[in-house]
Amino acid sequence: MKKSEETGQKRLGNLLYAVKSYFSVQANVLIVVFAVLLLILTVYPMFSVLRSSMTVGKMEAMRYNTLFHTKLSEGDFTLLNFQSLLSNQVTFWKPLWNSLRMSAYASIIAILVGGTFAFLITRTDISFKKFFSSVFIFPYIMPSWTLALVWKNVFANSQVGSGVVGMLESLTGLCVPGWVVYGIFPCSLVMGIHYAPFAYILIGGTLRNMDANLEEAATILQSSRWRILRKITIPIVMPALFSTVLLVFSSTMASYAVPVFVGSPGNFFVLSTQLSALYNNMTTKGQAFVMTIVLILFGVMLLGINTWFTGKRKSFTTVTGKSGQVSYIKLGKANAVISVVLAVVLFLIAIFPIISFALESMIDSHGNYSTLTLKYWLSREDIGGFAVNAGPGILFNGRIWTALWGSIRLSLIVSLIVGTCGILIGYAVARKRGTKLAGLVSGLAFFPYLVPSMAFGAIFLAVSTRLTFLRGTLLLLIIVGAIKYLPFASRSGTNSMMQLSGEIEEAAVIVGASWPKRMLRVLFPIQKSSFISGYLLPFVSCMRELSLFVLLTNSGTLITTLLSYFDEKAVAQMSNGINLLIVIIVLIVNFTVNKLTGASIDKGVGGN
Amino acid sequence: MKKAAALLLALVMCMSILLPVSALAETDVQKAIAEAAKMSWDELLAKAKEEIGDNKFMIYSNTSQIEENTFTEKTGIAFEDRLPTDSEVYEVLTQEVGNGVYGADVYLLQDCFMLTNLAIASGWLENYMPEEYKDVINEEDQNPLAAIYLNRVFIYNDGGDKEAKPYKNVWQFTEPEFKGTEFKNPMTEKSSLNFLISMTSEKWQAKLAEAYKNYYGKEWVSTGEFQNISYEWIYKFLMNCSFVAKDSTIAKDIAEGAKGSVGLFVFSKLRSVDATNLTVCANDGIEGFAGLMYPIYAQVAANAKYPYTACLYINYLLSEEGYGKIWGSKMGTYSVNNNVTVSENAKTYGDQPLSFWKDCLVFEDPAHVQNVYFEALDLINEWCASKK
Amino acid sequence: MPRILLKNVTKQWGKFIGVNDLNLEIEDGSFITLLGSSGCGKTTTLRMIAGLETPTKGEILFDDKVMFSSEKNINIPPAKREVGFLFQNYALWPHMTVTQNISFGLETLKWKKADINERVAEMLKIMRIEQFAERYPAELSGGQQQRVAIARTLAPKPRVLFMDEPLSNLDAKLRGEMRTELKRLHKSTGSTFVYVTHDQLEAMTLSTKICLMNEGALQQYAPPLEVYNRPANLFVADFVGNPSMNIVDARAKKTAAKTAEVDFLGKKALFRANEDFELKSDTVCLGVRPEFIPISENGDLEGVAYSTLPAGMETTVKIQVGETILSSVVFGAIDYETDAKIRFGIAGSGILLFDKASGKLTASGSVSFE
Repeated sequence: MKKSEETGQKRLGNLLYAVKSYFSVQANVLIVVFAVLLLILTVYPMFSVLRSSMTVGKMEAMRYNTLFHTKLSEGDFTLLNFQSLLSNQVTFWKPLWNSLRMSAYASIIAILVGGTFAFLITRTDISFKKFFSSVFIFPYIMPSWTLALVWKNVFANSQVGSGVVGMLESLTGLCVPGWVVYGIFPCSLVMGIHYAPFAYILIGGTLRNMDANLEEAATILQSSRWRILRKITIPIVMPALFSTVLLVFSSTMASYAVPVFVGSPGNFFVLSTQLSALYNNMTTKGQAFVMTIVLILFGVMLLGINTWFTGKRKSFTTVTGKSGQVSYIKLGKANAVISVVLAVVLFLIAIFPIISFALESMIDSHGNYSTLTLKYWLSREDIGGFAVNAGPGILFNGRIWTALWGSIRLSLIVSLIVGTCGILIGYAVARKRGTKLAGLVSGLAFFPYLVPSMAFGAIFLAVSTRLTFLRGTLLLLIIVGAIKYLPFASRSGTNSMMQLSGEIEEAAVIVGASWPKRMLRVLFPIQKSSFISGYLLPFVSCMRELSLFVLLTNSGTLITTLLSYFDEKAVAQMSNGINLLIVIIVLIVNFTVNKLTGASIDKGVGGN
Repeated sequence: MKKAAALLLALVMCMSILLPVSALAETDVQKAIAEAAKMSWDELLAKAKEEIGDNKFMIYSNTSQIEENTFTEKTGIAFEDRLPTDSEVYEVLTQEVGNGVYGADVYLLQDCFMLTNLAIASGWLENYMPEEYKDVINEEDQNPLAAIYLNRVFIYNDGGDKEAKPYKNVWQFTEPEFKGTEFKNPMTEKSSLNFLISMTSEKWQAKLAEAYKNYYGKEWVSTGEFQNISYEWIYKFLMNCSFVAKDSTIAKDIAEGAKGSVGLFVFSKLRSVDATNLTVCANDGIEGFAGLMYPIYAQVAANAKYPYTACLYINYLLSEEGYGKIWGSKMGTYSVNNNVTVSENAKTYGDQPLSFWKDCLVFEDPAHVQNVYFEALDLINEWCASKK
Repeated sequence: MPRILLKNVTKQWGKFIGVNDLNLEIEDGSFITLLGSSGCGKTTTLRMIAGLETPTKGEILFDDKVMFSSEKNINIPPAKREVGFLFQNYALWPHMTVTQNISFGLETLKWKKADINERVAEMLKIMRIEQFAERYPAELSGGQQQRVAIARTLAPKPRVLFMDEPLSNLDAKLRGEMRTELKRLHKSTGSTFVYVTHDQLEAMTLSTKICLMNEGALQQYAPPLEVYNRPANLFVADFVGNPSMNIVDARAKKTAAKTAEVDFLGKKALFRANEDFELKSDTVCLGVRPEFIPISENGDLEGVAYSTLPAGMETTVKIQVGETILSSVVFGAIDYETDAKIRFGIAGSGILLFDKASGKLTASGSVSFE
């Protein structure tokens, strides 16, 4: 009796010891904490989506009872949502097919454009690297629809739609065919260009950290540039390519504004436009949730392929530290040509929209440049005229400044939280590489990306009606923003941590550095630029997010909700001005961070 | 680490606890509304001031035009607002009032179908109809109370030629020759959807049949493909039109577009573009109909914190002064108060009094929408998605 | 078979001079080591010859073909120089198996499939890595990776093989083995090897000629034994040899064509040179290899044992004379008590006389005490 008690105690002791020693390793603590945290924060929304797709709301019950003579009442379980949606060729399968095509093209375009750019910046002696590199990320900083708008303004012509004469026609008299202006072509292209900076950041980051010897070894073996690219460079940046595809594909699948701007007028409908149509009607909301599940499934599938690929036997982690002796490819005479082409393209996609924002905010009557005025910026009194109630000019408008500060504060807090979590997740996942828990955490951290913002906002609206202390608070916005943008940071955190060998940290362990000190003094500085991009990306995204927050806060709280207020009031000058403000602020933040820390969204990969 | 664990614990606990909080009991709001309906402005103002003190009340509004300054200037009572879109507001209602959580006092919202079948049927919103306006507001606008009407009308670019009058019949918009009428997708815009559904009533079938005869020179005969003539128009129109995301974009497109380009969009957007070349089809005397008209309803939340204040605000919207200060000078916005007339400024854009529009615009028709909603919705959704 | 010629090659990064006006002739079939401490410009030199780095000035010729010329604006890309390059970190492609790594270069050269397979098998056998053929680099140990890297480099039978500290990542035992292998490989392939290292022992044992560099400048370019026996200057003298050469300050006065009177360690002695020489100043240094300091009862000089380091086969004895500490290497194992008195001499004809100011070698000869 006594003996068995003793062994029992001993066993308990052993167990306690095992638990204690497991948790004495920081990476273990982190991985467990994040696994639990992410499970709660992502499984709950997922559960909500599932539940909403399988139960009928009041209006859905009415619909099914009317159409199918069922006797459903609110809250009943049903598979009718799945049945109705999945059996519909026109409202589901066709848009799905369109979405898939658009996302595939957009991914290819993003990789071609961003990858080529990354290659030019990291591997050749092209001129004005720093300038190009910082301008190239503008399209991502700006909301995607700005590019769609620019596209329309440039290519619209008298042969298409309402016959608005675009820039191209007015300058050259050239009329491009309708499919260039509206439809899958502009949708894919605009999304591709919008996300090309992603490709640039991810691929460029790997190229930067990739040992140049790997390519030189092939050069010495008399391989052509093209063969090296194909056989060495591309396979090695494959994980980055996959990450890019994963992000661009899922983002494009979920993107709404661009297909509405340049898709719908050409009768090109995708899943997200269809989702919004169903979601915005209480009688079909359940079907929208079924669609959300489809979107999520595609994301999970991509994620699975990604994990399978990077988890394969050929490990890519032997990418050793930076090679000090990168020899740039000499572009020679091509340098000037490529630089000019690049400059023109960058001007069109990055600078031109900003200029047009500025101009549009300064003309009284749209399209009439003789009515140039600064009153929408500088008027100290109410602007008046048709802009009734718009208040004073932008620079003296208290509401705009309040909302702007609200957005900046929210974005700062969100990015600080998210960026730090991203690094910690990256650290934990990298250290526990290969374990199930690590796979779980990195998968879960990506999950919020797959839930459309619209649905995400609605889910947290429901959460806030249960946890009333959260209602309308900054905390709620912070939580929602933090979860939604975690994928960005955890991706960049994981990528950069994966590139650091464990020995670097062990070297610090040996000299007795504490864990925080190792993080702050050793790991962080080494991968500073990519970590800081983990902070900047959520900041940028948060600054211009609308649909995620619109259900959760007042119209004056954030600059984007206020922007939609001015949009609705049709004070185009003010909305354009506010857009300009958002872009400029993000640029200033990027620039300041660059000056202060030497890092920036683009810095990790190019510049200098 | 400890902090993270604590946070985690807190979260777990929070998620598992339901905390329904209700403000005033339902009956209290109803009682207050009933009382308020009988009060004069001054009595109501006094009651509202007493009730709200230094607090602010909340408005959820479908339109951003609600005035911040003038109501507060007049009464000294401040408010905050949120602008959920026409469909978001029902999500918000479900989550908030549906769960007994206070969100707003006043709701300004559209879509008769959702309002009746969801919000009112669930008892989430209460109707306030001040007795002093009983005689100047048409009965059909009294319950649920509409505050204002907005319209979407066919407007075209005349290229400077005001006499050409190219659009004489609504069937023109279904002809390939006139392809590309810009229109907001009815699947995301509730007023567009209800417009199409309302159009299937017998009244508009008759109007469309007459217009058909005048345009094609023959009686409309069913091919069996469509339930009635309205559906044929809807189908052909949907196939022929071009979906554009925002009313302001349509306005801009048409204003800058080629001569003859046409759109069906919110009249009030005319103020944000150079309208010199824009003509409202209705003023050319188009056959069939010239667009649509829909109400913005004003309702008090069943769990309002400040029901008297909510009533006071709605009362203000109905008054000539309130309408005048908020919408007075704008075109395309009409008070339900029959004493209110269209402003001179609006007239210069071709605006007309509500009575004029009654004949030529398809008004949102709650009774008819109620009857055919689901069948029509499914058809329209499918047609929209199958546009080529 | 190529002879490599470097003419006035200079590499500059901004104001920093990496390699300064280097002239070098590498004979065909030789095994040349570029030796020096880190940052001396040896790797840069190697990379410039291979074409991975572009010189700022100068000319590089393979046989009589110009590979690079700053004047003529010629820069043949590395791929066209037909050389092999072994990287310090091996640069194995992580996404390819051992076989794929080795066959990559052959595929580039459009070899026939059968020939490739044969050559790969041959290389696997030579490098004794047959059993790893289908593994990925991440699954190999350092030594195995090294062998794969060598196999990959040698597979296309390059005429010149460049190696950048290829053994520095290996442990001592493996390094020794690989040295032997490399020397055999050099003989069997007959190719020209250019080898970068900071390890003077490696340079001594492997090469036919050592090119010793310091701060971007060439110090001496000569066969190993010459570098050892007749170092061109004090830097070379000090760098080569382990334990390093004893360098003792002295005063010298010429007494005849081949003799001088030297005054060092408080004693006067006669330096008899092997050849005529000229004294630039009377401040000189005497360089004495440790093996030229025999310890014996009747030695001419006296000091105390500072420390004794027996290594089995030989013993290094540190002898303190006044302020100076000399190293002496004697055969066999002996041990001295610390501070025990030791008598020793200076023997042999390999004693070196350097000019102190310029550091240059003046003469070699023998030293005798009166």
